[in-house]
Amino acid sequence: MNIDLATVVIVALLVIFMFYVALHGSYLLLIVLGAFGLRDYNRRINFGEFERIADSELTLPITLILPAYNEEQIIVGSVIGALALKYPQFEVMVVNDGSTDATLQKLIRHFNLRKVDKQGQLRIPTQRVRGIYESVDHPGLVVVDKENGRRGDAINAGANLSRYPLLCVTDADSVFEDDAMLRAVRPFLLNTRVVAAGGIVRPSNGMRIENGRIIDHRVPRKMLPLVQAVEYLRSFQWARMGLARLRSMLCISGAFLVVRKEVFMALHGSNADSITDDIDFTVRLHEWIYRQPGRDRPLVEYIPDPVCYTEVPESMRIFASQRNRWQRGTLEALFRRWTMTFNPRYGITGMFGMPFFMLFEGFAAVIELLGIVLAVVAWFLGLVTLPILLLYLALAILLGTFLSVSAVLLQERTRGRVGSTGDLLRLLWAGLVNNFGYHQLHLLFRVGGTFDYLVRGRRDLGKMERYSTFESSSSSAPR
Amino acid sequence: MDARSITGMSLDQIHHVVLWAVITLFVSILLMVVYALFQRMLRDRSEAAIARCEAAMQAQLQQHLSGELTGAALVAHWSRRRGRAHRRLMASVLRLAASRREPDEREALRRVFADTGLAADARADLGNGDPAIRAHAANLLGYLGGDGERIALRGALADPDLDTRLEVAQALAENGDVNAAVAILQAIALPGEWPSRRATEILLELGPPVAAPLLRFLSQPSGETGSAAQVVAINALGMLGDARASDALRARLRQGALEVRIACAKALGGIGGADNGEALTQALFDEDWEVRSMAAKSLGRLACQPALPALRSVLPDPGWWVRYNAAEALHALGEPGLRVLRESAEQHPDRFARDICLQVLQEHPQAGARQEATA
Repeated sequence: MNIDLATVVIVALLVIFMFYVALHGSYLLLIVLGAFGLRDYNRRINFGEFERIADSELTLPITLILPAYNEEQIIVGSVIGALALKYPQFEVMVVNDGSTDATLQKLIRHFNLRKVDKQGQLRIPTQRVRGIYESVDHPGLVVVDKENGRRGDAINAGANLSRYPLLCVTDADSVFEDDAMLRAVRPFLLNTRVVAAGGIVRPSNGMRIENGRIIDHRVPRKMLPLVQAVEYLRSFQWARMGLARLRSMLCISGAFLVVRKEVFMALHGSNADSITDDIDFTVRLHEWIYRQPGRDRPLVEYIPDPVCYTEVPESMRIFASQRNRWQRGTLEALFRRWTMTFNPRYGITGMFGMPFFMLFEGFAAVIELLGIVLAVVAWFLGLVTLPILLLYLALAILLGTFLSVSAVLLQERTRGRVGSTGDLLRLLWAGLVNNFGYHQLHLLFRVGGTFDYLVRGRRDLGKMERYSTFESSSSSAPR
Repeated sequence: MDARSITGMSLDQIHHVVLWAVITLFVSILLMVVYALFQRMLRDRSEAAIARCEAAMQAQLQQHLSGELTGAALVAHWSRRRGRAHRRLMASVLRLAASRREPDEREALRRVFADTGLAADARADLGNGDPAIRAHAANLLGYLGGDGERIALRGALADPDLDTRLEVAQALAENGDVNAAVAILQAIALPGEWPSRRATEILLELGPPVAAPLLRFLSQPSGETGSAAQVVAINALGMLGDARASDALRARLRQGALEVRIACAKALGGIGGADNGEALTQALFDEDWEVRSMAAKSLGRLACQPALPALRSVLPDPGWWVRYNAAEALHALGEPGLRVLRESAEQHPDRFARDICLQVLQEHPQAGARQEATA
């Protein structure tokens, strides 16, 4: 059979085109499911419900775990904000994961910590715990100082020492809405089958935050964090909502994960060796769910209310490193559980969720880049004319813009919609502009991550840097 | 191999489809942007309108309650709203306005709801096809109270939607409908989905009078009641501290399903009394660590002095929570318990017992200071 280059290029482009039809068809399904999920959620919240949860002595107590590595700039403010959360019973457990800066010293000074001989159940092995501190002034604050073992190891150390049946894992730079915990715990109180929940995470860049409390909700002013804000909306506002309804939300963000402690322990906690512990844990959680006997499977819920805000990179260098790491982490988590893919034993998770993530998250960047390269080759070979090439380029841009605008529309239906019409216009503008350069750069970083993982075998975390600081008060000064 | 063999369409046809997709997407995006801005404007206006409506309702309510505005005038003004959705919105706004009034104005506000027909609307909404509307209606009827509302709510305990049943149960509890206690318990009992904490809260809203029906419920054979429902009833009795439940709970502490024994151990700690202390002391040697742990915790709550030797003996228990709760219970016994903790922290042959005693002593600074002073 005589197959020439032109035929190969055209066939490859057609296959990629069909891939994109499938991809955006799935996205459209998720948008619809996400919209209905959001509507159902809002309608089911009854008058006074969160006040009732806040006042009840039966509300499940929570351990809030903050793994911290070299966070001296923001840790005091973050802990102040965490301690001020509106919730009847909780403890804040900061795990200092072998910081080389003054993270621990700042905590000791500001919160009047004293060392105690606290012993936990130690069900999960971790790096050596050097000391445990409790605050004289804040009974709900515990600080664990340990040798460095990565984020997953720090979370496990916190879980070992936690007292309460629910764990909320977050980042040291996360800032919460006052009632974040009340909203997060609601699914657990309504249904004992719920074993884990995630919530909406949005960028905190551009917000005015003092002592870990949000004073002014604003969208980022700089372009890079602004396009990430739109990307987070796409990911959290409809994608995860839709995926949760299909039992396929295989990535609960590590910035806000609530899980029953007994389930966390049954899964042997976070995988300290993983590149991204959050997606690794969520995939393992879904595998565990399908191993449980009985018809009534445990559930993973999604809370379509913004509950948590976290910093996103403001420099291209850090953004590149982050996306490289996320791509490698995604591939690692999926490949470790590749037997779940198209495996009917894992129900809809295996038949839809895993293939969706494997194809549309794991390899979409490589396929898209290949499509761009082949399109240019086809043009050079005279297989397509410039107008046709521009037509497909317009399709790609408009598809991306459609998804972004859908997400912005949906966020208007949440209680955390952007405050001003100006911010709304900024988000819409970013949804369009994203397709002219930023998306393509993001694509290259993800392809780089794929190459680093598959070819170079990189398993490290890259250089972890604080992106910026949002502190505007002198909260870090000693009392 | 060509385009038709792969996609079923020729290249020209594919280009044609893509062109239409581009046009459709472009128009859709424009419409969505316009809709987003329009929706924002509408939502801003509706939120402002609701705020004005609520403020106006508050002012009119105040006038009515102070006698400046007759009930008939108030009803005439509000009854002009005819559309069902509009009336539901009005009911929500009025509910919000009412929640900000004083409790002793509630009876007058109930009459307002009745006279405007909003109460009747809510009763009718209990049969609506939308479970969210039914749940909201139950919430409103719970606020309104009254015999008619209670009858309607009791009927709604058979609602197929669990969230609605929970709201109905909450509404009945808010109205102190003690006779509905067992019906409430059975209505929100589902294996595997049991919102036990929520159910316990609802029963507790009924207050001490709910103890009698719950005791009657527990007096039935276990097989007829189910362990999940028993747990909720036991939790509620424990939190109410009703001593009449002690016999039934002690019997179940000795022989019952695991979750029932745990609940009994907790509840007996809430009730107190020497006999219960004795039963809890025996439960320190239960085969399940969760029962032992809860028994130790309850003994601490009771500050049960006679349990001191037994608590000391379980300090080396293989279960961490058992050791921890036993050490905490010893601390709660005052100086005799502290003496045991200090001695054990230094001399107990079991390392885990020493560790846990040391931890508890350090977590209670006053006890730790006494330890340092006596060292």
